[in-house]
Amino acid sequence: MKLRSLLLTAACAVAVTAGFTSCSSDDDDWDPMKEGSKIKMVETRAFVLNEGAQSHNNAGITYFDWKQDTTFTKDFFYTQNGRNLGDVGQDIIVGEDDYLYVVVSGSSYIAKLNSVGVEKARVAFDEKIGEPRYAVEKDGYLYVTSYGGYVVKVKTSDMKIAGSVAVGANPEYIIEKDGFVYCTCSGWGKDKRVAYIDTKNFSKANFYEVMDNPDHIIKANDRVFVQGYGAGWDYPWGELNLSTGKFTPIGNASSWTEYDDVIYLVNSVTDWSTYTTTNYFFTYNAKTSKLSEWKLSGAPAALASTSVYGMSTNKKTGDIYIMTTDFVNNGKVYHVKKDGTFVKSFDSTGVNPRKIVFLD
Amino acid sequence: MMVSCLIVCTVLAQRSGDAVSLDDSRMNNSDTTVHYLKQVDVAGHRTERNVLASKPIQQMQKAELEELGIQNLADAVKKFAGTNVRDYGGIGGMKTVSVRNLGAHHTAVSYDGVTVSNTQAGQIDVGSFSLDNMESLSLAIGADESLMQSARHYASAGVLSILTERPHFDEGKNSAFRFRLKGGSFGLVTPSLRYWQRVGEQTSLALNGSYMRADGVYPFVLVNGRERTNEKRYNSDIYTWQGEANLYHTFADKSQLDMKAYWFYSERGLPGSVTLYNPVSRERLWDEDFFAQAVYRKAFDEKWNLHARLKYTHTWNRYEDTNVKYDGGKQIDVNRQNEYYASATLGWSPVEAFRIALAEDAFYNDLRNNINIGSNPDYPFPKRITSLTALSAQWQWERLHVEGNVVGTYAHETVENGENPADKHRLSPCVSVTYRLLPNESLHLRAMWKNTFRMPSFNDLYYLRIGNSGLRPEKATEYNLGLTWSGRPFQAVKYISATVDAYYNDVTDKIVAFPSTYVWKMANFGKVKIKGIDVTLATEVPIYHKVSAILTGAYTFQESLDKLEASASYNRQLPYTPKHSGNASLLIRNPWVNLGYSVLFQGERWSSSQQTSLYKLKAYSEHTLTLSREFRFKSCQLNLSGSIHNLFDKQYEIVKYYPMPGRSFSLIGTINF
Repeated sequence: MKLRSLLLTAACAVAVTAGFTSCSSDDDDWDPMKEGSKIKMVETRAFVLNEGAQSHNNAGITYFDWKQDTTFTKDFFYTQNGRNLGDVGQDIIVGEDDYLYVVVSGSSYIAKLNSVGVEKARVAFDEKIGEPRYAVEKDGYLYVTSYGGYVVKVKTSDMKIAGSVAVGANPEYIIEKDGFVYCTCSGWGKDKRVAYIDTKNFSKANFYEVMDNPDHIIKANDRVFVQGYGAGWDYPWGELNLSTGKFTPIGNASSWTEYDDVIYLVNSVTDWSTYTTTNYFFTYNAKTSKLSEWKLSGAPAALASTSVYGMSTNKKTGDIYIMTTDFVNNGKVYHVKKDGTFVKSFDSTGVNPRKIVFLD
Repeated sequence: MMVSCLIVCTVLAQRSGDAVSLDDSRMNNSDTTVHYLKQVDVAGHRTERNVLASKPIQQMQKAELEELGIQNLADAVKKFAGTNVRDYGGIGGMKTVSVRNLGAHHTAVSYDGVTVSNTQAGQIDVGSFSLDNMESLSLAIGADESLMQSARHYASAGVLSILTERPHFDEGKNSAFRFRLKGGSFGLVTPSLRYWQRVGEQTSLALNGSYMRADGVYPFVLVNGRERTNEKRYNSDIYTWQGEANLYHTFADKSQLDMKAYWFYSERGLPGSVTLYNPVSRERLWDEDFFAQAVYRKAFDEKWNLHARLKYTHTWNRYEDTNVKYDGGKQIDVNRQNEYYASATLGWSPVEAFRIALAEDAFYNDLRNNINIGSNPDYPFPKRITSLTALSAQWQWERLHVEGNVVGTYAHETVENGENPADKHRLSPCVSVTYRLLPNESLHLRAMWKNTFRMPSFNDLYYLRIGNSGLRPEKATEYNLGLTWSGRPFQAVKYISATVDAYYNDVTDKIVAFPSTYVWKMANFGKVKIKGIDVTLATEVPIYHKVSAILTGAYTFQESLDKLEASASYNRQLPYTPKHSGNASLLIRNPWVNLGYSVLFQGERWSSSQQTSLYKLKAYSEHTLTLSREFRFKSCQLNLSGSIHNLFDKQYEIVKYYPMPGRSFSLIGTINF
């Protein structure tokens, strides 16, 4: 009897939860047209930022349904806004307010888009601070690296610049951790540091020395990892210990993403004697510090031999999206499970797909 | 382009006593009756080179260039069939010429018979040459038909030849002076001076100099999706100074020596491509070129000829970009090149129908720059010694004319830092033939096969990070089959000339920037097959007494496909290659005001190897109208001309996001005395 009662209670609880779930994902309640969309959209939407080719003004955004992997085959930004995104789409992030922030480096501005891709505001970076590169958002502010050697603070509500702090030359990727922002300073090969700034007073940068020409920075399991070009342009990566300031090389990788404290990495290596590129996929468990081969099963052969331009994770599912490019045609997006099982691939509808962000 | 050349023979003489070689005493002798004969001009049409030659050779003369209002060398070259001019727009924008899509590196540019070189970039910016002193311009595909060329000309897939005007003096004069002032839209002002002086019975001197300035700010319409905005092209200003001194001497044995010193300096803004939402452009370029050359021509007898050439070239340029992204806020690249060049061609005609020539060219090139000084690896400071040996022959048998040559190339390169690249050597043969199909008609069938290659430039080999010192030369094979005709089929026309050439080019080991994940590298990766048809037509129609209409036209069909299976753009048309392009012009010459009208057109083409609507460039046509008039006074001559360029204000781009100017005006006044 007790058991039956428990089972009944459990069944009711499941039913109620299912009802809420159903309610929250009901497309009838979310109307993209009310937000200004020109097209019908699903709530489980994702946006691919295509960087484009430099000086071609062909950066763009693609929209797809991350549940079905069905894509909108036109330039999504153009469709929603009637104009082009611009030159060199460098970064895209989702803010805490569910707005999208798109960094367009060559065109030197950051656009604020609502959750259906309609532009609501933008901020241009002038010649003094230089072109924007990458952004992270925290507590209503964007922290954006700029090629003039700054981290620039932008208030998301009005997209006005609220301040800037000088860091090293040509800063690139930026993360936020425990009230500090950390960015790599590449100096285009002349710098080798990671700068960090306390966001509370946002007044001064301090530095760690890591490697020649650092580029990416990522956090996993409360640890920080840095990747770069290295002195020999062989893409070294390793861990930056924030307590000691010591950088420990781990391996070589050209692109990565993180989910649940596991870093998924690829090293795209070009053999200049045969002009062939080979991708080596592997994982790094930040909890166990274990490196493992990441076997992709069922993936098309092209994934093993086409340059990987970016990797992103859908935090809702843990699935990984690997973006490849041949630098001429539209890129490809390969959807794989974190265990390496291939799900589907689709056209990125633009050149050089760099990053994907997900909404639901 | 294919304008007819009238041979005007003055059979007798002038009204003026100055021109009649009778002394005054005889003139004043009452027994003597002097009869003044009217000048009689016997005019005939000389068959064009392009009709007679075994390889396509197109030509334009100074008069046609001026009467059609052609402003610069690149615009002139656009009128040749089979050329692709990469024009980045504006007065100071870079302009390079590719013959039948083989690439600008395969085109030699010759200035008064000696090749202009740029070993660093491997291609010549033809925008820097002035038309002011030009006598004629020709484009030979394959090579010129002259046997006495340099080996360098034989070694090129195409030769663009600029010939400057040699001094000539009115009867009884020992000097001539010309002042020209040109002005136009976008702040263009160009004064130029030319002075000719006879300094001896067999020696003359020519000096000329010009200055040009233009702010280059021109309006254009920027199309951004559904938005259209009126913008202006900034940072397009240009200032150039150019000077040239020539000394021409004929020795007692009739041998000739031409010596030239040339200097060019420019400062210009580089507006770059239009970047959406970001109009900032701070790139600037300074160029300084100097060369001194001598050409010696001697005919030992009817059988032996010698042409020898010497040249020294110094090229300097400084590129500067101001942007906070650079260390110190500026990127400054300084390049300095030298070339020492010697060439000799010995010709022998043992019998009238057979001629043979041996040409030997040797040259030394070096480059010093600051691009990756202090980096790892340090800049190599390359030096290259090249030897070109060309053995050529021509044979005429009744209606058959055969030409052939083989060029042997040897290049040795050393670097101060890093490993010396392997020596390069290669034999490049060429055969061409023309056959007159009918004995009494100028109807010719011609064919050509040429094997050629281009050396990697210093930039290809050593440029920071992307350079690849393991590059091999890029190879090209040209095939041409053509039919040419010139005649006067009916009395209503003075002549009609027509040529049709079908061609096929095969480029292998093409040097391209090969992409990898982050760092690109130059590589012998490309393979291109080019098929095309070039058609040219020219005619002159007498309308009335001293009024005639000259019509010329050229049309090119071209299919240039990437044929490397591993390429991301396999089997696609190369970027910026229209399938259909051409031009037409009409000149109406009359005693009052000459009228020139020309139109250039290009069909659709793509700015990228990805052939989607995003990268499609629309077809366009550009029209130019020119009116000109010559006034003759007692001791001087005044020419005035005015042109409207891009008459219908067409907004177009040759290179994507490099908008070309809309309608513009120019006025030229030239006084000769």
